[in-house]
Amino acid sequence: MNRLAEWLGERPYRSIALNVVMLTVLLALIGQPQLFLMIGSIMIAVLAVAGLRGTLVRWRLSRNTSHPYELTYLWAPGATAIVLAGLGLWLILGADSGSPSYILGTIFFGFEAWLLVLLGADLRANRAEIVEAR
Amino acid sequence: MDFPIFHLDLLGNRGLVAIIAILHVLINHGLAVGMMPLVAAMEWYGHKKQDARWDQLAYKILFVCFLITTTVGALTGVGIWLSVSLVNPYSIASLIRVFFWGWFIEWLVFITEVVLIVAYTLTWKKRSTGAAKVRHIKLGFALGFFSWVTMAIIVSILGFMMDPGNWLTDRSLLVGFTNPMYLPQLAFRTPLALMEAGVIAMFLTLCFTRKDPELRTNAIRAAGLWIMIFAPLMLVGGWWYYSKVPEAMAANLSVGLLTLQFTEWHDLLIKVIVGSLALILIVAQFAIYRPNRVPRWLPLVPLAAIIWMTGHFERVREFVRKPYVIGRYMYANGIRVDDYPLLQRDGLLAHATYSTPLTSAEIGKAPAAQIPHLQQGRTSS
Repeated sequence: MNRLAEWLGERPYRSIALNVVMLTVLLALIGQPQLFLMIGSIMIAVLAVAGLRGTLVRWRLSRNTSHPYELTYLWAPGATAIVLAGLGLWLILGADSGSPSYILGTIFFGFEAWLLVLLGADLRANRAEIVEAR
Repeated sequence: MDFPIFHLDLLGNRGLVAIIAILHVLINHGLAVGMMPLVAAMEWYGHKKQDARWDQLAYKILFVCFLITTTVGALTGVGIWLSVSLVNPYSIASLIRVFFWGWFIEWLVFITEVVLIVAYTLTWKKRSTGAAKVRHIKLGFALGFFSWVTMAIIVSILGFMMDPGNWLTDRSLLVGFTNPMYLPQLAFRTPLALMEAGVIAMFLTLCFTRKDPELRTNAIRAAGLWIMIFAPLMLVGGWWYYSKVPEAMAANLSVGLLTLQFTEWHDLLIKVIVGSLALILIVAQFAIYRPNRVPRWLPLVPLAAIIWMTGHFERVREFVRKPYVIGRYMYANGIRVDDYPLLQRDGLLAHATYSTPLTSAEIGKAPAAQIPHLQQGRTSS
């Protein structure tokens, strides 16, 4: 238990990611697609706002020097994660609980939510680096 | 003119065409059309950053593509001509009549492409600095462009075979070339090729950068981004293409996707296709977020998914055309739609080149039971 607590403490985002994964598993176990859609949408919206804030800050700080490649790197991963999380919810909504589509949708959703947490964390780290550099 | 019937035991005629054509499409899309712009972009990036490591990586990837495209790619290209000429000479003859100048231009473009890839690969090390390097990078992008043009011409013929559009009433090359399926299919195949190249580049990068973790991280991330940019475009192109498939062919889609036995699995397979695309994107995302943790086997997962998707797409394209080989113009057995009423009335033998109607003396020598049939056949001819 202590080792788990230490591991979680090493990176602040790990506890958020763990919460997100646990909530996804819980929603999957409840087995109600409508409920999954409602709570899952709110979860993705909150994570997307957190990611968007970080992205906007980084974009403002670097836009004078940024290249299309860097802009794509900044915006595309988050946008793709949101779209794929939506795809996961779509798969869940059209399937019976426990069916292959339902499980696949849950895996997509959980993975994308986890990636959105990572995105927010990476952007915060980037922002700290930029502020430090200035 | 009549042609002898070709039949291949065990593998079957369809199997022969499918193996050669799909292998050619995978090489052409993944290693030529998609890869050449990516290699040129890597070379340009290395030159811009004055980082020779990018240049070396781009060259190694190009060399693999050069070897495969100029051997297996070229042979399967010729193999397509051989196999389709054997399997359905009537349809290829009709297509040559319609697209003679199209194919002639494609041949010129293909020769240009071959010259460019040879020049691009063999002059890489000589033109490594200054203005010569800039010219070499331009050569790379020109090669990418010509690779795409060959595909753009051939896609028109593939589209024509699905739906000739107004060509049935106005038989000119331009009308045949700009058939209703042309642009949607091109809009689908172009990002598909670019995405396939991204997946292959990711795999090759992992093979070639074992001793340089920093380059590996940046290059894997770049390949992931490349995939991520073109995947949504492929989805949009695919949707446009699907929406333009003629109604009669769309009705064949379930059989085309899964054979008659499994048509009820249609909805599940659509989800599997969407899931495969999502899987490719997930690997690309992982490569962007954590490039240093991508194991060498991981790009094989999206590679398998994209090979399966491309192969299945080609299979469906061939299957949904039935009963036609050229939509509303020629049946799969080589009989033109316009000729069908005549052949139905007179019989096939009456118009077959190598079937001479029997003379009265020959009919007289036949067994008594067959004489009325033979006389009837002679009358109708």
